[in-house]
Amino acid sequence: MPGYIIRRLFFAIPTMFVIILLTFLLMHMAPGGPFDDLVDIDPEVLANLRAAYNLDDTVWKQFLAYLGGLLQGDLGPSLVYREQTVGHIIAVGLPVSVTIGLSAMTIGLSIGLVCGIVAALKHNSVLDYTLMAAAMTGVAVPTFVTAPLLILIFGLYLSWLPISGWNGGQIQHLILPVTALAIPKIAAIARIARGAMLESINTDYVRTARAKGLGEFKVIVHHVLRPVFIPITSYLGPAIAGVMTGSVIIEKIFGLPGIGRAFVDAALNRDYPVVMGIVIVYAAFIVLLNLIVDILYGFLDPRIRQT
Amino acid sequence: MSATLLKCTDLCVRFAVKDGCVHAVENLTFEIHRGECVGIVGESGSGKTQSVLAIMGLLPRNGTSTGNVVYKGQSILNASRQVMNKIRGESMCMIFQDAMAGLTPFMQIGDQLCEVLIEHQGLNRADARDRAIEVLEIVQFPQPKRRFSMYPHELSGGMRQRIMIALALLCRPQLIFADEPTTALDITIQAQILEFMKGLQKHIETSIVMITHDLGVAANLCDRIIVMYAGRMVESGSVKDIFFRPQHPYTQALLRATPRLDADPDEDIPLIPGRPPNLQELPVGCAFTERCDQAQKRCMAERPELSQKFDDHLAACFVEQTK
Amino acid sequence: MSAVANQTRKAGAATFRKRSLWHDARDRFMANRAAMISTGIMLTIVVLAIIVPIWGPHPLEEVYWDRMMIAPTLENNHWFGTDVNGRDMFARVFYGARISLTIGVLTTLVAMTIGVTYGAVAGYAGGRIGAVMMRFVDIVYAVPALFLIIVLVSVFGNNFILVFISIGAVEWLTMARIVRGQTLSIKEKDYLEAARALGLPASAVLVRYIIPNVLGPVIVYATLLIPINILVESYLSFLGLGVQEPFTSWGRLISQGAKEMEMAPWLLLAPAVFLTVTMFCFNFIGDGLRDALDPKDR
Repeated sequence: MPGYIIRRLFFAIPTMFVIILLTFLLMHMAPGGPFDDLVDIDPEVLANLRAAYNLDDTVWKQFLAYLGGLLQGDLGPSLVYREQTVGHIIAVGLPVSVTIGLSAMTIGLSIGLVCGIVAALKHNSVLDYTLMAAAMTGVAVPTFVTAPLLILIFGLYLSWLPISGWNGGQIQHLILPVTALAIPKIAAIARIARGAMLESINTDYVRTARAKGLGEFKVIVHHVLRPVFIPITSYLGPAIAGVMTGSVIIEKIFGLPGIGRAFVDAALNRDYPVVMGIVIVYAAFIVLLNLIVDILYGFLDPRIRQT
Repeated sequence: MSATLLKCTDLCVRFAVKDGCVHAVENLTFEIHRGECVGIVGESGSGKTQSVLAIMGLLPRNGTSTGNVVYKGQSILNASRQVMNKIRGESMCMIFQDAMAGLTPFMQIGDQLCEVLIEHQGLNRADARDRAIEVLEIVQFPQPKRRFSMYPHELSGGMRQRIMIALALLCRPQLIFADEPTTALDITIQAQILEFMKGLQKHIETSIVMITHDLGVAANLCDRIIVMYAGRMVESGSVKDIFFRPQHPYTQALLRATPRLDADPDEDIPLIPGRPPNLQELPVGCAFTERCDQAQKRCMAERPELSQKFDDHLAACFVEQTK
Repeated sequence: MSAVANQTRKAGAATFRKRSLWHDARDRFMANRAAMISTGIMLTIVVLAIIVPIWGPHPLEEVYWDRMMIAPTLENNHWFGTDVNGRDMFARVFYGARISLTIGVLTTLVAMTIGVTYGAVAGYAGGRIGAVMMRFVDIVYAVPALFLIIVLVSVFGNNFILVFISIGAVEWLTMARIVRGQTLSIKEKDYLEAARALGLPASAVLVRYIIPNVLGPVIVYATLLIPINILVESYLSFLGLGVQEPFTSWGRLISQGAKEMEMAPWLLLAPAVFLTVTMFCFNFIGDGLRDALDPKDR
């Protein structure tokens, strides 16, 4: 097992390096510089500005400088908000995004699993069909449709909940964005859990377990359930990516000061260091999560540990 | 051979499939006595395994069974889960064919053994462990203590099959259904395991129902043999009679198709031509007619019922065998 | 019936079956009610997307100063109402359908071309080259697609063509994985061995044997990719990074509608309903195709 974890870890480091390199090169290819707007600028001032941001060095020197800064946790200055560093922007936005993202994932996992398992246990019943129809809807309706609808119903018509703002992470302000973000995850996880459960219930080893005369509860808990977590675990990576993507939209709709919104604003303003910094932070998150998922796999399926 | 342990009357097993209904087992009637070993022989798809699964209440969701099965005086066909769970795993066990797929891959073998003892005999973990290791030693599982916390994939095929057998033996059952317990193994291990089961049967007075497509295996182990074809019993009788006085052309063909040590090695083994019929649309007459070398006109129009040919030897065939 | 006659009948049935795998798949698809209804609905939307902007009751850019933000009504044929500027929503929704569907299909074609080529080459080359190629795919996978697309769009600009090239350039990864997996499994087959033994050059083997065999899964995934890409474009438009005026797409319409939803919910609902229905339909069609083409069931 430790060897397995170390191998996974060695896999993660070059991944991060290549991602950083790719984003860096991409940003470097961008036509037009950050100071193009400053039309009547004195060439000398411009030269000074470029020097200050290391824009005159060769690409490789710039990359190495950036990488060096990165290793010390320095993501460089923002080009648009000159008084702020990229690190600062991320530090402000990250707690917001992580709060709603994690809440949505937790809710998605717990409700999704319960729905999927119940549907599989009641296979081909009315309950099964109802849950799966609801799940199908949840998967098909995009977040930026559900979110405005939630606002319309619970915020504007019923006036139960605030429709925007963060307000220090007050629970009322969290409910709608987290719900909108969680719905597709609940739906997807329920579908995966149901499928895996049905497959697992029909295996030979579950038949063996029944032949042992074990009670139904023991059969389900000890022999059926475990493999259900394997496809769910492999879905965690894409699910987190989906929540991050969704949170960009959600933060925009609900006016939450997270890094998703910062990312979009930066992309619209061509504030490349911020865009880069956020992409790198997101990628690091996902790489780390995939690492955890791989380790979880090892725990779930003893056959994987050897490979 | 005295008291009846299991009596199965008119057992039918059907499977609902997309475009109709598969008649896997039709009107199967037989008895198992205490301490005897009965072989059920037939090609794959002849309904051997499905009839046993039906008796154990382990049919897949799309399967239904009708008829009557009486085990130790209790009617058990389609009985409730509670009733079956008291019998299954304790006094009636099954050894499955595929030991790789049949063992839960993510559970240590020790745990898979112990849970049976904990469930049925109320043992605590430590006692269950001791007893399980004892049984593993009986089935000649090498180094059971060291391997107790291994996972199925870490064991060889022979070891896994021994685990399957040990699972069935844990509670000293009165009836064991062994579904081709040796087909997945190579020939030397196969011989070992069969030899072992033979000794075991004498030793603990268990009745064994041996499901196999290999007449050699059946001859080696069984007192009586039931031959099945296309979901029906076509012949049943003592081992001796089945081998020396087979009454059904199918049994005769099976016997000819069994490789023999004393046969001329250059001679081809006579195979049975054709394929078993589609169980969704069985012919009106005898299902074996198309492949039968003794078929008469009557065989196609009418289905022969089982009838007593001599002593307690039954066969379902119109053709009277000479001698 | 004699045994011989029966044998011939069976053999005849077998060859008939072999010849008609695609027919078989078509029959299976036609028998799938959800998939057939979805196909019907999608065809209707496509036809409407073509004709409404041309022959609809109102021209696309006509501004009715006296009829701003009126609710859906039969009067004056504003079936979906009008928007903040007094433009007819019925015309705009189907004009948006044009752009959304076109982008969905074009991006999928781009993704398909890149993914199939990349995956087939990686699978066929195998060994170290294949491993490195797939390692690259794994790495890019670590960044959520939308983020990469946003980066690409913000770097290269967001006109119509660049948007769909950007989406296609990111969404080919899964396709490459599928094709590589298929190629690897087909590579082991005997008939390829035979083709190679007969001296067929690698390129011919690729074109004649491998690509036709991976077509099934590719078609299925492409069908599922179209709605994903429509959605991605909608996300971009919603965030203001997608197509720009004078173009519009469902995403843009939804984004504009969301701003006015308290006063004029139809501005949000009309495009949202069409987008959602499209998502449903493509999912059903994709599922139907998978069931029809999945060799597991044959």
